[in-house]
Amino acid sequence: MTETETQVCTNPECDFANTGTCARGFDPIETCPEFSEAEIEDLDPGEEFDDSVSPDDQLDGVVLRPNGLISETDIVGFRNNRRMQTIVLVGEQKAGKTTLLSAIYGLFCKGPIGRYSFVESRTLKAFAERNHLALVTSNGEVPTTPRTSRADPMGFFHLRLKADDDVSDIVISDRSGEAFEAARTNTGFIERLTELALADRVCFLLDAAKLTKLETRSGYRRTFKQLIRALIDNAALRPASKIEILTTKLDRISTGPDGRDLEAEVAAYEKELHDEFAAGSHQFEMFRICALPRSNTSLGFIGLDELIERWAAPVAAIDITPIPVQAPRRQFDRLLKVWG
Amino acid sequence: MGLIMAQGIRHMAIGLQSSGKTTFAAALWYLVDSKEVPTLLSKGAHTGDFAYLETIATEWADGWQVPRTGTGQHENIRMNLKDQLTGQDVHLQFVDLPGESYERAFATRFLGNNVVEAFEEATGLMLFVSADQPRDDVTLLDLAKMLQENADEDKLLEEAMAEATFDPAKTPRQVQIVDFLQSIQDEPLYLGVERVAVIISAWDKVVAGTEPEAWLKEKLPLLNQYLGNLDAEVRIYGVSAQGGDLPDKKKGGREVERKALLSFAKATERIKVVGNGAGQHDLTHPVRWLSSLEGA
Repeated sequence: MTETETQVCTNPECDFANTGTCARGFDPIETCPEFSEAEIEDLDPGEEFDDSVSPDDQLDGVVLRPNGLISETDIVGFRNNRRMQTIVLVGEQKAGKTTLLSAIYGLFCKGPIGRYSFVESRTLKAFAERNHLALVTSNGEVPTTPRTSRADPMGFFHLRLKADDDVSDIVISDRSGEAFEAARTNTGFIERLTELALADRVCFLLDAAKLTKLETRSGYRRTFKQLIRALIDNAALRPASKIEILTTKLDRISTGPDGRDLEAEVAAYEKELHDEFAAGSHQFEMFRICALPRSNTSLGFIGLDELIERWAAPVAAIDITPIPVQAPRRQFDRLLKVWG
Repeated sequence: MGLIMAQGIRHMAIGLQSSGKTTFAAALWYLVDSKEVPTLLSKGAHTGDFAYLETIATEWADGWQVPRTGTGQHENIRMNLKDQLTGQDVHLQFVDLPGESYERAFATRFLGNNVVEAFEEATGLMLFVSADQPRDDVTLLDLAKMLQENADEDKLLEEAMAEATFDPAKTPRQVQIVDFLQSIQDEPLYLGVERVAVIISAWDKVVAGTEPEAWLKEKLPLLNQYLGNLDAEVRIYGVSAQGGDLPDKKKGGREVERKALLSFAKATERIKVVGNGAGQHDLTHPVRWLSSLEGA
């Protein structure tokens, strides 16, 4: 870890660079008048390890293929090697993106998920990092996963899976929630979300805990839809991209301390989402998952078998049959009809 | 095929630290040299430098822990063997590298030329995992079950995130092994793995009656899935090459266990091999299969 004393805010009493918390309580940080976009570049990039090999060492050996996150620049070439499904996880801070990735990795460490077994991963170290941090930091008390910082580089995780004779490759993006929050409030940032142009599925993580908590639900109900609209209205999604709403943190709503029917509240909001977006330009589906059953462990993992089944489903072959020419004017184009 | 193999067969023994590679080599050498019990492969012509094998085999026979291969050490193990059934000569070679070489590669992606050269012309892999190591692939759900009922989750969550650090060395062993197997088959090595013999060492620690395949599926599920989907033939053996817990010669202790093992009239009867129809003490069974001599 590289310690930093960098001051990235004009307020000398604000230690956002190191704590991630705005001294004046602004969240997201972009809404703080003392913080500007340029300063984001100066943020602590987070954990860094000197895994590099010195030039002298390289003379006496070889460097194996990378096993960390696949970078934004490398993903295009990587996708060109094989047909694969690109999954983009979208959610605000603490919505559970990293937790979901850790859970998928953790479950494959225990055995197949549903019908799918593990074949290979180009990003095992990146997966291990996510899960390892979750375990080390928990100390047997609270399992959690580190929040991806906006200053962290965006990257992709990879899995090759097999069910029966079908082998599937999926890549899953991991970008900080802060970046999506910034794009929601300033759509000028959307063009920086380059992974969206590659997405076969764009998965919006709906935080059920935030949605039902009295202190947060009013704002969250509005901002969650606002982010979807921002991406659709600004043509950030390919027409063929499917939209998935993944309702997370179901363990937090399975017990209602004050008698409220929290599950009904979530269901009502899900219906609102369906009514607003299902008839839109993109295929729209909603699912419930629980990747970290913290408050109610008896729930266990929910919806992950089905999630992997959807994400890894073999992609239908592209039909390359030429489209018949209507009312052909050239004799050549009439040949098939003549011969037929 | 037989003519080609007569030129020498090279396998690689790979495994993380304390996975039993060196003990296997020591016991195998003692086994074929002593001829105390019948084996599928016997010792061939005694020509070559066997100093390292002699050293570790002597430690093994005297009931001491076989000293592990030290960091930076690189032992090229060669044995001249003869297939009892076909008379085929087998010049078995495998390289005994310290487990750190593989663990370091996970984090740094660097593989020294000594390791790279050892893989050249290797046709089979002996993959060592130990049954005497605790599981290290706990998931989030496992930890969630340990939650204290009255814990202030939000506070602990914030504290945990602030202290998060990543140590690649603590990555689960099975993940590191899978990563290494994947990597050596890709650029720049492009190693063509045809056969993998998984040697589950310290098999005496496993509940009696357990099948090696069931153990691997239960204890190292990710590795089991990976091997199941690998385009190579895979066999799994349970092996107790040592026979039990032994003391370190320099540190002493464990005298009761050592005496129990030394009470065997034939040291080779300490060896236990389980799976794939192997003879009870026959460590050469997986080697013969890896060398494509079965059915030859």
